[in-house]
Amino acid sequence: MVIIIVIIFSIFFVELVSNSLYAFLKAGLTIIVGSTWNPVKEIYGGLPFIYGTLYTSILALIIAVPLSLGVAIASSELLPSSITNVLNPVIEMMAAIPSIIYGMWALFVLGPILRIYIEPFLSSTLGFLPLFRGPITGLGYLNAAIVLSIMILPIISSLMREAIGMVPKEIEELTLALGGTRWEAIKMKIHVAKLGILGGMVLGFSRAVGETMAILLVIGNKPSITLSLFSSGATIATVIANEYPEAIINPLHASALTSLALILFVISVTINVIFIRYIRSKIGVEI
Amino acid sequence: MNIKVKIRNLNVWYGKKHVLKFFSLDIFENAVTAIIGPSGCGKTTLLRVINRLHETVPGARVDGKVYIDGINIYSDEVNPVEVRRRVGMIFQYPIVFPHLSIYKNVAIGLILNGYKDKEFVRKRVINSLKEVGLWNEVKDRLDDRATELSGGQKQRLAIARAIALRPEILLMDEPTSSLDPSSTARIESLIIRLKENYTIVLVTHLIQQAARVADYIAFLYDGRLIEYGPADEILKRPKKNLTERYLVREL
Amino acid sequence: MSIKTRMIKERVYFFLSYVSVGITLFILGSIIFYTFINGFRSWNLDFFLLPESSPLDPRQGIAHAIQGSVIVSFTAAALATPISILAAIYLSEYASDKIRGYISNILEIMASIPSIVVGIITYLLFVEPLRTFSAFAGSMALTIMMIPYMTRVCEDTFLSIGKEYREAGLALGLHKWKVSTYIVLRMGMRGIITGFALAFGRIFGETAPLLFTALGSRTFFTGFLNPVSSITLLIYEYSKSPFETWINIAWGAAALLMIIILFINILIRFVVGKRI
Repeated sequence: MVIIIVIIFSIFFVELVSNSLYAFLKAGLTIIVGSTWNPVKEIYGGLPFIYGTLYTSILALIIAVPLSLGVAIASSELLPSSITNVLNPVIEMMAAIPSIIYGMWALFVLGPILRIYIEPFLSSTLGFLPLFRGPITGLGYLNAAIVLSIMILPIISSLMREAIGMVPKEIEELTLALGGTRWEAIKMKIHVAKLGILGGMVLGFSRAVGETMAILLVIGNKPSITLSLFSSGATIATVIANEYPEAIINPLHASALTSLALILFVISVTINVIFIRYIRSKIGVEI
Repeated sequence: MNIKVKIRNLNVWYGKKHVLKFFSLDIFENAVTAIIGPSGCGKTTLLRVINRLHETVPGARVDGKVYIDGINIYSDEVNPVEVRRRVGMIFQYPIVFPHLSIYKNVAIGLILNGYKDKEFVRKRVINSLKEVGLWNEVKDRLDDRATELSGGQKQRLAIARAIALRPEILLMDEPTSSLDPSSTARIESLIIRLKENYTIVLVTHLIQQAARVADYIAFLYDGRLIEYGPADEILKRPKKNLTERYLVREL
Repeated sequence: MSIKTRMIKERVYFFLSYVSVGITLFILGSIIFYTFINGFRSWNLDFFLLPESSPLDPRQGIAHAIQGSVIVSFTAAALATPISILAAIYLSEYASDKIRGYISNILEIMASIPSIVVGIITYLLFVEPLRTFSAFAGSMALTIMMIPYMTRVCEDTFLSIGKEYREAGLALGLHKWKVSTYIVLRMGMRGIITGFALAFGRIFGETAPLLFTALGSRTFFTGFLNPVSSITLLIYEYSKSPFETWINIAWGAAALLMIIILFINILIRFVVGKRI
């Protein structure tokens, strides 16, 4: 019995040890606020990666949330159980597909579609917006955002469906009895389930923030702070994956990357543990 | 007295179960009609047929005609949403929308049905709260969460919410069964006040309540209408054996 | 707003919901379709039996990667499973509420660490000191990823076993330890197996934690202290490359990986019939 405690505590201790290694030689605050990242010149400004991480994740949320809500509503309210008995497991299995496979699909299937059909169309119709400027390659922020949104959709939608399912049936009946349409009754359920739905979104966001392989092949890996969806970019996760193997010979470079990893760790853990706990305490349920 | 609701040859199923059988009834305007009978006899289903709520449950089937003011609400041209706007319902357990304030809870029916004029809505809400006798208790905390009210207050809130839409008919499904005696008494006197302006159909398993409140009583057994008439007659001189046995608590 | 408008709104929103389902299924279908169509084309005997070779060599395969994935994943499973089960028994049977909460927090933190960061932690702990990339480090990375998940699943399973069973055991004069192993463990077998299968499926498909631990290799397994390949690493490397032979093999590997993962998931659903 005591052995297990020791094992668990030593794992915890191990995290602490590795954390202290992170704080090694931080090149000051420029890791966070500096906007130029040039290992050759020994300039390590991590802002482009923080931007990239947040930008792709927020974009992914913007795409995924309406879709997830639609799927959640359809599967919990509209479709007959004969269909949902197949649909729900299928969507949950989507979450089990390894992220590198999403990455391959994004590179070889989504990329060409974006490059040949979608991005030229966006450029010619909405090119005046800063979102749609720049050379068209089919790779970059847009591709990454789309793939990311597909990856987080199953989790968000499952949590939303659970949240809606937990709303007492009387709420729906009451709304109908007041002369509401079926859709208005569903809207009411969504309002009651607000917190759970928000929790699903937050969890999806935290997944997106930490994702590496799905976007590594398509994001272009060029640090850039820009709104242009066609542009290449980089996230904390992708720059680490790209540069770390070469960086280990240069202790400053390696440490800079490790500091970025620490930032990512803090962001993920904060979102996961604090927000989700807060929401859970308000609903009193397991997410 | 005018007949508000005419039910003719109603057959209702829930899945394979034949819940209401060849049911016909006339409900009088501006009166309280109590529906009594042993549990499972179809009382609640009868109520839910009148506001077309029964059909929203999968496996439900309704056959027959229900006329409100001469119009068959089950005809193809009638939208059930419209029916439910004009027929109010109070449920067995006091339900409030947990995420809405007291004010919003009463106003929600109006908001859903597209009443945009804020002044108009406000007036209706205040009037409804006054009618159910809740105004003085909540006027200083209209923006508080409705979940903070007591059971009796919530049920009166539910009634206010229903009458805010000025329905013509009020359906009440055992509205006091989860309340304490004093709240029950308050709601019973409210019902008597309300019948002046509304047609009330009240399902109850408390014969005493029917005695206190009802003008007419309908006794149901196993999905059929056994006896129907003025409250006094049913209670004191029931014509059918089954009715008598139920009244003396044999059933 | 008239009723007509509201009914139209309803129809529009319902339509949009159905469209969402359609889009989701279409994209899922696209992923599966392309993976299998492109992948199966590469499947032949060489693919399964031969290791990597030069990109111009038509005769090569992913045998080394399959071997690597199996070794690294099973090692991680062998390490993580007993730890997780024991930890779960401790948490559900012995720990006070306070300790359980405290350790739950730790496990949650561990579970929320992004896989790339786990890779870095593992690098710092197991690669740098040993001065070599290794299968061992790769296994450790996957173990770290597997433990929080499995512990939580096992803990939930054990906690869901009604306390009457434990009381029956104690009443028979069994020591608490025997109650835990004989009764709780055996009754919770189903949950444990389900949790194991799902956790294993997860780590089998991981790439990021292996990037700078196992590193990848062109050859078969040469010992735990040497780098080793994995199906996932191979897919990544080959997809990045400009060589058509390798890209085709990558699709083949992806198809294999997909089948393995889907197989595990479907198996679990049918055999155990639970929703996790």
